[in-house]
Amino acid sequence: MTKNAEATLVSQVLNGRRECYRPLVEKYQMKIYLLACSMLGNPSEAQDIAQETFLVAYKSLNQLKDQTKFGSWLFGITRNLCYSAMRRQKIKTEPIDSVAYQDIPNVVPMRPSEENGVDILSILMKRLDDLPEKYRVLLRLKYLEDYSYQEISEMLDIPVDLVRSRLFEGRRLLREDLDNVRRIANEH
Amino acid sequence: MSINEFCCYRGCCTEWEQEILLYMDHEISPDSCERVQRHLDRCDECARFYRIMDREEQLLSGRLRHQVELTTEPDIIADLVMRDIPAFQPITFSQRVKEQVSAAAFYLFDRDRRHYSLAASILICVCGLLLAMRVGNVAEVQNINIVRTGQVIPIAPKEPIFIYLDEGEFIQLPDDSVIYAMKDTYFSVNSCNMDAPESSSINEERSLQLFSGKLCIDVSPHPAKIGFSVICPNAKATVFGTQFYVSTTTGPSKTTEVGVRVGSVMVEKRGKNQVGLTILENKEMTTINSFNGVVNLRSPYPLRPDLRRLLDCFNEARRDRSARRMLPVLHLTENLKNVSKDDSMLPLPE
Ligand SMILES: [Zn+2]
Repeated sequence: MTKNAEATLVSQVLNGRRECYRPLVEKYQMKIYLLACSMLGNPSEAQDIAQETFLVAYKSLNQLKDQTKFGSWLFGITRNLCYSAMRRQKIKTEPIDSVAYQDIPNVVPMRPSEENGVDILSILMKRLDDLPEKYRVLLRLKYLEDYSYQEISEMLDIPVDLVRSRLFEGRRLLREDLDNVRRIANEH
Repeated sequence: MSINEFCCYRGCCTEWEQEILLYMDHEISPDSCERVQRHLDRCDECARFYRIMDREEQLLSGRLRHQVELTTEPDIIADLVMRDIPAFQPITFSQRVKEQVSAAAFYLFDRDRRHYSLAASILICVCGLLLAMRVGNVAEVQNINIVRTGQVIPIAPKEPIFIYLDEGEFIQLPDDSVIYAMKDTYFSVNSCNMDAPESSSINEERSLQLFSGKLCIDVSPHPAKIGFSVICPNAKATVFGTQFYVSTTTGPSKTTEVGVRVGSVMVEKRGKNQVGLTILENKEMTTINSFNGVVNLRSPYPLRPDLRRLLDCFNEARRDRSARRMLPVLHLTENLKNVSKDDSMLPLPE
């Protein structure tokens, strides 16, 4: 669907034709859902946010200034909804959150024969959850759906160059622990 | 993959790392892609780096996808959203006046009297709008001046036009949109109002009714984004500046075809209790069939070759405006189209 077709649908919706909203939702629902998943890391919450995004967008559709930018506008709404959800979450979970992540390197050398990537995967997953947000969201988005840098750039509203460099840096950080674990495993 | 298969992320050929990752993400130019492939063939170190990275990324991807349950029904969000939203109320004229008046009132009764002038100007605007409405209502029934074979002919809205010439006919509408109607086409121009305010219902300002036959239409984009609709017995196509084709048949089982050369067209079902629409993009078409009161709308598929040729030819003829020269060209195309129905594919004469 071109940007023009989207603009057409938006103006139709504003003229009282609600059924014109469906193709727009269908086009963006997956991206919105996965963006929320990447930011929140919780699928059921992400689905709520995705639904809320489309409801909020519908209600404030007349505030969309450039109707060809429906997609970027939608992603902006999702990000804002996710940030407020994260703030709510933080208030709730702050006291328990102080358990630091330290134990993994000690576990692995005890069973160095464990292979087939099982341990590697759990180390990577744990590490991914602990990465700074700017890397974590980006990497999750890339792993969830093999989006192009251009698409990710639009979804997160950052330049393509930054997507490239952060993906590179993020992947390096992601494997930092793995390198240590492997070193320890080798020493044993 | 063994955990002992030691591979430091900062491998030996550090300068290749970024390239290899870009290669993995398919974000690399074809030239560089070849270069990376050649290097991977030669360098064991980098080949191993690539293999391990790719494997790890796939593991991560698989685990994350599993977590978000991408296997669930994809349209569930759309279904839930569409269940929850009400229809927008189009802003009516009286609402707009009310808004303006209340804005004026707000400024008038504001203690800060500097806003007097603003209030006054808003009131003047309102009066102007009301006046314009009155005047507009008086002059409601207006003839539409169309150009047929070089002559300006005023027609009444909804006045039927029947094309009996073998070579079809070019018709120019007051908004500069051009129609090529083929022989035996029967249609009317319902309205072609170029001065309509942007806010009024976009469907009604420029519309044709096609009772039967075939039309090629080049819609001129409207400065205020007013759409152009073609209403057929069982479908309606709305566009905002594009070149497209519509044909429709009459009878108990009606069939409408809509094809797009460039731009996009929204096609909707028409009929009692029939809701559904689709968007056609460049070089796509759709078919709408109705039978026993049920309207079926096919999802978009590639434009048929005969329609593509017809629209391409129509486009050529449109650019050079002399109708005399373009009519024979299109006449040829139409014949060609009839031939191509018999499954013989002929190239378009240059
Ligand atoms: Zn190398």
